[in-house]
Amino acid sequence: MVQIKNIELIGGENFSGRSAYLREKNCDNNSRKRLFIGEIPSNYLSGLTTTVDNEIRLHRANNNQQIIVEIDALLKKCDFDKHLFKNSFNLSGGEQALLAVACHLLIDKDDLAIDTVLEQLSSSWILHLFDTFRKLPHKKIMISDNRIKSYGFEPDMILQHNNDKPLIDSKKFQINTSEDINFLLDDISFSYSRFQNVLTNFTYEFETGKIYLLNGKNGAGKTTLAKILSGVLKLKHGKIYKNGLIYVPYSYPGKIVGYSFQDPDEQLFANTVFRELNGNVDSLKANMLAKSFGLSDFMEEHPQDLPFVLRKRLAIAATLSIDRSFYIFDEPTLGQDDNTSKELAKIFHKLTTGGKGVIIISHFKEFILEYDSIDINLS
Amino acid sequence: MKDVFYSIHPYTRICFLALGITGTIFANRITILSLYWLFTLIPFFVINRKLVSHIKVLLFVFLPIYLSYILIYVWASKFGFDYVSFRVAKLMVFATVIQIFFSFKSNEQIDTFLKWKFKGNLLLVILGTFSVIDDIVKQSDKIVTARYARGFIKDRNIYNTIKQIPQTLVPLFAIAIRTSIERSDSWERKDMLSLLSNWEQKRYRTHYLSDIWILITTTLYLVISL
Repeated sequence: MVQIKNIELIGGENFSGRSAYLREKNCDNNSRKRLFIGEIPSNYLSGLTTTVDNEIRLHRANNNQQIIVEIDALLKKCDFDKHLFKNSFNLSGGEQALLAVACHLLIDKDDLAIDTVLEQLSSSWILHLFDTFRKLPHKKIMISDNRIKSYGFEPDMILQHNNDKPLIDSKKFQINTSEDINFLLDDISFSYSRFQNVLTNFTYEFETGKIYLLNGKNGAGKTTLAKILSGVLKLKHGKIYKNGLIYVPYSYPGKIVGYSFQDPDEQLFANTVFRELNGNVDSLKANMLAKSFGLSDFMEEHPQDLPFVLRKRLAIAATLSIDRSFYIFDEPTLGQDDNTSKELAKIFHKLTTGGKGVIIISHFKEFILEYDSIDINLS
Repeated sequence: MKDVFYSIHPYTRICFLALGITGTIFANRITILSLYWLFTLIPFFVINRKLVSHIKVLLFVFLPIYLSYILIYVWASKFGFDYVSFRVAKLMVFATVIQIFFSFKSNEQIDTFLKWKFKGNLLLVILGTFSVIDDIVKQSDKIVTARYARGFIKDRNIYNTIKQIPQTLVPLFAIAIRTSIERSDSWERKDMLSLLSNWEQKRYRTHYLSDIWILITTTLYLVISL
């Protein structure tokens, strides 16, 4: 494994203090604050521009030519040319993450700390990004991440977790069995604008009792497919059959397919964790989910007060609190360390043994390797 | 490097606002208002492909106002249709001039404000205000979508969507506060004021004919109104 001199990689489990370490180290010798990108990349875009082109122009305002050339090359390799006139808030999670990192590299400061953002990037984009880091040796970059080894590097430092951390425990997870269902997606296409299809003539059959792993480069249409299946987006071309009969998911949003979003914050509505887990309807199930997902100690807390790692777990648990035949999880391992990801994999496997269908959208395949899963590459 | 293309040149935009508003204040005949709306304002929406948004404003804002005025002034006070039509037309042209003034294309926003000599903190606040509206609309949409995905909404109709508004407020406020804290910290780290002051203005292009047309007709409108 090759290390890159100007990059400090910080590993460690959840609650080991990686983020705190990055924030503590956020001043250089002259007490200037380091550039920092946290878990939600859209918060680290300027919020002052409405197009990708202007966002890049704003950050390159006072920079040297070498950096501009390298960043232009990076964005070109990642096919960003087609996004230049899009609204930066309409980009997918991975695209926003890359844009945030690229814009921070353009700024005329040499210290940059990146906390748990790179997990949203596909493996090819990670390669291009580390290649760019290598070509900018004067930039000192600190990266705290759960997937350092899967990027092909060894962490320079591994922080130890404290013993009281809330653990996820798949053994406590119980599931109700449900009827067999299959969905046939027949020649479906979808576009957000007149000019570019996100999905083109996609045909596939999904069955309950199986785990499907949707992958492909950022912006390939993984989330779009999930939104069509769960009935959030209206299908524009093609047909969907459920057990051989025509089915229009848009007419039954969230009724047969439960969908856990990539960004947990959009999906947490209640005033307490207990209510978020549907505890006022089925308190036994809410308690079981809380124990399984390590949330028991936070039942009376406001969901939005929890740290990102727990908010993500809560969003997944809340999706599971309502019984559905199919579940879609968008980047379920985001912010979760390797052990937690493996426990999540066990829970997903348990769902399939109970006759549920599971579709996982993730760039991190390794966590599910232990179980049979079907790869669907949308690229 | 691509040039910036202005739908209306920033200087034309300022003149248009001043002349258009003054002309509307002094206009005393519905014919003048109608001709100005038909030959200056509507062509602008057509050229910039924003006719649909203008029609929405007419249907959902001015039609209800017109009907209410009929109810209040014609039916209850016997003022007559001419009186009501003139007032609604005046209000409509006034609002349309302001709508056009603020109808920047997203990629011309920063350059337009810089041409108007806004800088420093004030520029930061104005740009932030414009983009935060966009941001909040998009976040609310995502939250309602998430409620559909959780299966909380039985049927898709306007009534059910409106019923979701109170439910979107908690996550919307939480997201807005978290975003504000993280973004302000990020601005400080990036030295956003210095980035904005170093913004490289590009050469601009514009529809000269439409700029000239809008200026000449608006000046004529003002002269006739006076």
